[in-house]
Amino acid sequence: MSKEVMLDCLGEACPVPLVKAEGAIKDLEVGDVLVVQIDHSCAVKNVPEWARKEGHFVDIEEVDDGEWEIIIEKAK
Amino acid sequence: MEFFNKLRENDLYNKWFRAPYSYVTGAVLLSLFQIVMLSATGSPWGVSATFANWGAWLYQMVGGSVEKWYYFSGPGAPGSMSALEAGFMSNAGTMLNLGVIFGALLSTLLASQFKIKKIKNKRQIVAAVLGGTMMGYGARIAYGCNIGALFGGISSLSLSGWVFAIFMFVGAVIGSKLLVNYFM
Amino acid sequence: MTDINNNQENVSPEMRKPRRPSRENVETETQKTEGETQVSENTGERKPRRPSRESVTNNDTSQTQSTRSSRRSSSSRPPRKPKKNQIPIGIAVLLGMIIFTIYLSITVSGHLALFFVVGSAFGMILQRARFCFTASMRDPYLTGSTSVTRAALIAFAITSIGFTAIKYGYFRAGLPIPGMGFVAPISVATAVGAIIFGIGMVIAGGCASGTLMRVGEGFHMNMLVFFFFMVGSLWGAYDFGFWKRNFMLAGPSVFLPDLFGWAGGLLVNLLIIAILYVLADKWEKRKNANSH
Repeated sequence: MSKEVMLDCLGEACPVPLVKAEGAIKDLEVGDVLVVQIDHSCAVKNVPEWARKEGHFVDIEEVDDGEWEIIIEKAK
Repeated sequence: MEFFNKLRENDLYNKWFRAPYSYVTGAVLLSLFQIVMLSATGSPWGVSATFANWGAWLYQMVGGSVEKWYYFSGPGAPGSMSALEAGFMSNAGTMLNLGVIFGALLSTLLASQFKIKKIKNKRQIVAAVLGGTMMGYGARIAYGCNIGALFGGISSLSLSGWVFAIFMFVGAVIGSKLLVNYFM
Repeated sequence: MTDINNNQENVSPEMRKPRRPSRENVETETQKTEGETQVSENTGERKPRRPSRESVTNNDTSQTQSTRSSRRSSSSRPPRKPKKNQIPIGIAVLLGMIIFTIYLSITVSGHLALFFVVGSAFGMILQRARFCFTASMRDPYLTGSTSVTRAALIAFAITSIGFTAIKYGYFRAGLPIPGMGFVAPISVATAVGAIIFGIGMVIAGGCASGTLMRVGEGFHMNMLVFFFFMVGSLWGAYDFGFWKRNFMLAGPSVFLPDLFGWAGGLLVNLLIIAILYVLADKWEKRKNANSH
């Protein structure tokens, strides 16, 4: 069964969300979903960029003013 | 309010004021305004020299004196007492830095993405104190920061910009190791 | 690889689909292995992306489960709570800035007001593009991404062309060349300062311009950084005499056109930039290949 993991990076500045996401996705199986919560505008750009480059499926949701969830499905 | 909600959904508004620009777009626009700076004011953009003035003003407010410091009064010194005496409100660097702060604030508000981000833990406090102090000290003895010494230096065809870049990269690598090991 | 201009704001419910385009990029690679099942599994609406709650309960504690489900209901299809719209506040700030500019040009000078306007433009550009000099130095090492690095190199190239043209114009007119204060002496102090600065900016999560920008974005941490940046600057200014006497006075200031002529100096600069750009590009590709 695939699972969904939340990664709370609220209040964290670059590059912490990216490094944490990299670490978290390693422990997941293909098909699992990692949701990174972010309120740092730069990380909204570099986390998806990294994830897309890695070949994962990425979606960004604006949850609130200045708050986002980046939904990454591990693809490989 | 209805109007503003519609505005937020508007495609063109989204493209210009909400969606992030590409890094390259940013690079081109920054270059344009660097050129504006040099041609209109005779000097490239600088950030951190002003911090020394602000620091000096704060120091004077608590009764300190910087008159004898080489930085402010020595021959060919980067700082100047006359700039300090002229005061906060008539300092060009002050206006530039205030502009950057308010420009960024304006930009996030227009994107409707402003959020106060509180300090999360002690680690962030230690990182802020250490990092801030190191940047301040480093920028003073290296004749500038990433803007004045790096961006301004390289663009001014100065070899010092490239030397700064090499060692700044070395510092960034060391900093990354410290960050991953101690500050995360 | 080009920079990704992701439209993260287009997340109104109907816009869920943009996620699929990114999928197509990888389909070619994944299809052979598990791609088939992946694709068919995920062609539905949203459910497959966020796995069913049962599996979540198995994997997570019930506490996070409850917050998660509430969050989910708030972010899943129609019942998304309307966000506060900050655009009116933004316009109020804009008006305030305009009034301040006018005030400056009347009470002090229009020239001083110009600095405020140009500074605002820099602030807006940095924030809009999420331009970060720290990332340009840090990411190649930390994550292997060089997209910011390459953008910074492009900025250096364009700006050096513009700067050289302006300076050459002054030189031709027999006037003192502007901005020569930025041609700094090279000495141990440059190296030590740059290393200290580099460490500091990565730890603090923002360089000088980045710190200012993030103060504007509402980061309390960067406000603290900002204060200690001033403290550190004051400390550096206090020690400046020491560095000046022992190192800087002996350090040469090298203006490339003095060595290679105007055209030559610019070309050397652009050549260095071009070489670094190619290296950055290769570095990113190599890092990517290694990680897969």
